[in-house]
Amino acid sequence: MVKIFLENVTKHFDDTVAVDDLTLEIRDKEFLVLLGPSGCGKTTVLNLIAGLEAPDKGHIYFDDELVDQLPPDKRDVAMVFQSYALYPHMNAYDNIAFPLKNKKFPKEEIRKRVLETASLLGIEHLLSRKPYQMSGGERQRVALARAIVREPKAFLLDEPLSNLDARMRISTRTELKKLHEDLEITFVYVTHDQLEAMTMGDRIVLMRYGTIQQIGTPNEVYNNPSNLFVASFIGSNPMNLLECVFVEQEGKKLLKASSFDVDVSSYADICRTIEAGTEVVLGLRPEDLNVSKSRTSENDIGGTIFAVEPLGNEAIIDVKVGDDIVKLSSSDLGLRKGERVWISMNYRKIHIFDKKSGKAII
Amino acid sequence: MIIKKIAIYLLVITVSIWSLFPIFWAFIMSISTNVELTSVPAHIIPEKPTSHFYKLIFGLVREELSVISGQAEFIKRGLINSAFVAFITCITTTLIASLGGYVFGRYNFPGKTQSFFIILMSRMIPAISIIVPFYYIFWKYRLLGTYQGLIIAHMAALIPLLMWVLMGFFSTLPIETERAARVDGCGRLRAFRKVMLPMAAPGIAAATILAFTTSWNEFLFAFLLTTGSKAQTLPPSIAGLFTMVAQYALLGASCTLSMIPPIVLSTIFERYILRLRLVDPVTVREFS
Amino acid sequence: MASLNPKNFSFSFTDTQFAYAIIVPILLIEAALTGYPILYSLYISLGEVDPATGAVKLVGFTNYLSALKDPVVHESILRTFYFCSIATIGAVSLSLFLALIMNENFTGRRVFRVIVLLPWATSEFVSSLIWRTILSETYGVLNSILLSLKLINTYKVWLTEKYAMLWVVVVWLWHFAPLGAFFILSALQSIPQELYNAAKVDGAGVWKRFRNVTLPYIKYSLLIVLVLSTMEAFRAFDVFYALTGGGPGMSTEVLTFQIYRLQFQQLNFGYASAISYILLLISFALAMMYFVLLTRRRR
Repeated sequence: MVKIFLENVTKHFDDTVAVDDLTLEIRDKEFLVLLGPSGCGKTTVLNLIAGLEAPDKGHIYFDDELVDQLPPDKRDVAMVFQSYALYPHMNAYDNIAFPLKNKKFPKEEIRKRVLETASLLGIEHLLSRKPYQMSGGERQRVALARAIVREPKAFLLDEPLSNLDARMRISTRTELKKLHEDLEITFVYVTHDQLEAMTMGDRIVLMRYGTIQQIGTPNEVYNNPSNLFVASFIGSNPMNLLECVFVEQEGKKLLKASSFDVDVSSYADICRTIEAGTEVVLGLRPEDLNVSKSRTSENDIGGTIFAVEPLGNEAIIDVKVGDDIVKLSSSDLGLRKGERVWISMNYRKIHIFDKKSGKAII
Repeated sequence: MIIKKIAIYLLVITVSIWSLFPIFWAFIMSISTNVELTSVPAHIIPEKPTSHFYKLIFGLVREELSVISGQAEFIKRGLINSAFVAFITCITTTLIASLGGYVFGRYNFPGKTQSFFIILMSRMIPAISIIVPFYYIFWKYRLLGTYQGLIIAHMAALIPLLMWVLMGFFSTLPIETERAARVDGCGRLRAFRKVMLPMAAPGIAAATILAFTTSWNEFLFAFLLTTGSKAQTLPPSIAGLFTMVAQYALLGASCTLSMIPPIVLSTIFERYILRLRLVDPVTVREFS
Repeated sequence: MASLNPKNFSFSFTDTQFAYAIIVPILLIEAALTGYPILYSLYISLGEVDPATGAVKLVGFTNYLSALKDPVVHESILRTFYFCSIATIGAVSLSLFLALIMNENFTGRRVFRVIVLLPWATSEFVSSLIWRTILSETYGVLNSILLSLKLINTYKVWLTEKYAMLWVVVVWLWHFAPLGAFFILSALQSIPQELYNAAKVDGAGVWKRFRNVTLPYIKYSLLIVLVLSTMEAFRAFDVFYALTGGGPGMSTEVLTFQIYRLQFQQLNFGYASAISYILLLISFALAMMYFVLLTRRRR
């Protein structure tokens, strides 16, 4: 149970900057996810919190106490590594008991706690086994047990699910979430899988090149991505991105592309900040689109069906619009390749980004 | 590819004979009699193999009228002394070198390359170049002819080599496990003691064997620093024996005894020894 | 937001401080045990030493000058280089040969590897002694065997003035080659089998495969063996002491042995130290070359 605050933290390794002037507040007891592609610095942030790396610039506070120079063994955080990092020469019991032995707990207390934690995770039967005698999932549970047993202030997890097979991943995800609710400890969770982040996090921190792109709840980052990177990263189906130019024509404000126009006049007040002629990117989530054979509104975009991928009760349709391909899903199973169709969008759910800066306008 | 197989087996046999013959011959000498060995042509397989000379060495038999018993006793003492020196040397050297190798293998600090270079250089020195000052210094500090003196000399020679080897080994250990130990409440030394050392056990075992064997086999320093003293080790004792005329059987026995520990240790720990690698100290990556 | 809580400034080392805490003592020990003798040796080499009292009378560089003018020294330097060149070439070839065989797949391969390792495991001195008895002209078993096989008709002297050096090389190689062989073997083992298969499919014969697949992978290890064998050959002493004692005559008196003789038989400490310093400098030069050659990252 701790509030963690990173203030203007910078860390570089040799010539590369891993974390660049990052400021982040992690609230007490929240489940915070650090999300981003590999190399974005999320693991470095975790290491900084744990004390395995020291910041070159900036400060780190636990509950308002400066911890920059505090070594990892004194920070009272627990960490679960991607490779689980179990001690190969000890059996599961000793692995789990290790942190308690280091804190010089009495033997009976250790025994009690280890058995409790083991039963919580369902691994009592594994206690006498060594890591090489266990499966990946079992090892992970031992790693979790080792972290839980100390009742730490915070729980740091570095891509703990990435070495599991798909089915285990889903069940473990739920278990971790439940664990968080039961233990009521601050969780800091690193992943590159946006689905994990969306399903598990109270808040998500999107990172790229060592900087924070956006912080928000899953809803916020999904519905209001602050830039192109976030928009394209979040969402199981990638957002469709169409380049157009913002123009004013006949009193209307339009996004003009080679093969279509979209009238955005109702966003007039926001559009006032955009110069005419600015290149923008129109973002449309596949879930917000519908396809039909007839035009239903002025803003519909016309195109030709390029491909149809049936998925059972629905299909993914690729529609060629000008030079771009727009993907969407439809439960109309009668659509065929080559047909001319109209795409209608949910007007309230479009996103517009400035092409150069990537920042969101709407 | 039968021709290839046959060729390989022929080569294997030839090389084996080449490698093993001297060892084999030492053993044959040790179980023959001097008469057999000094006949022309010598008997390759002794007609009546005897363990007489081994018994002489271990004091189970005495020949009153010749000086050979005295010589044999020197050999026995040499064995014990060599064992003692080698044992102490390998323990202390391994302790120091594992800590040093760990630091060189996993930490970066200013002056790392230079300090490793210095440590390595001390290995490059031909023993003969420093033997005289060594002798003088030992004489001055009354270390001549003592166990401590030789142990110190051996440690000085072995620590750089073992550190080099162990550095490579430690650098291959997974870093996350060490980090886990830190987060789990270990300071650096504790993490080293409880986690890294056990994980490095195979490499350390091999390094220890290397140290023991090198110390056991060492001649020059042992010869010059312990000859004639109560601490005289085995190689100098064998050297002394060699000046005696025609005591080939006893010589063979001594040489065989000298070769047994290295052979036995190498055979048992072969797998670990062959895993040792020399590492480039700058990047701590394998020379390959 | 900050408050500096004194409790958090528990005394903790940084990584660097910890490293220094370990390395500096080790450095000091090594410096004391090897650096001090070297400096002392320099001191001796600049003077004349009374063998009885150990007193040193400084005479400047006379020892060095005499050494550099001394034909005996010249000859031993030449002999040393002669020995090193043959030994090094032999070492690289023999090690490569052994490594190639050890790399093949056959039953008993593991046993074979142990057998190859054994010469290295034994004491250089002891095994050289045994070789000496084998080669002995009076009772040596080599003579026996050759006589029995009717390849010679009387016992021959093998360690003659002309050939003794070659025999030293042979004995030295017997002891050293396994080390080089295992270096090369580890490089050989890193070659993926698919490359050989691809080469075979492309129609490459044995030599072509060796040149294009094997050689690039082992080039570096061959270099290591080259340098290692040069350094070890340069420092070799035990073999010379045990096998020939510098003889017959002076035919195998290399620098190391000469220094020994001058120090412990003639008790000419100053002169011997000067020569040993020359040896030291040559060794250092070689070691530098070693370091530079090997730490230049390639590939």
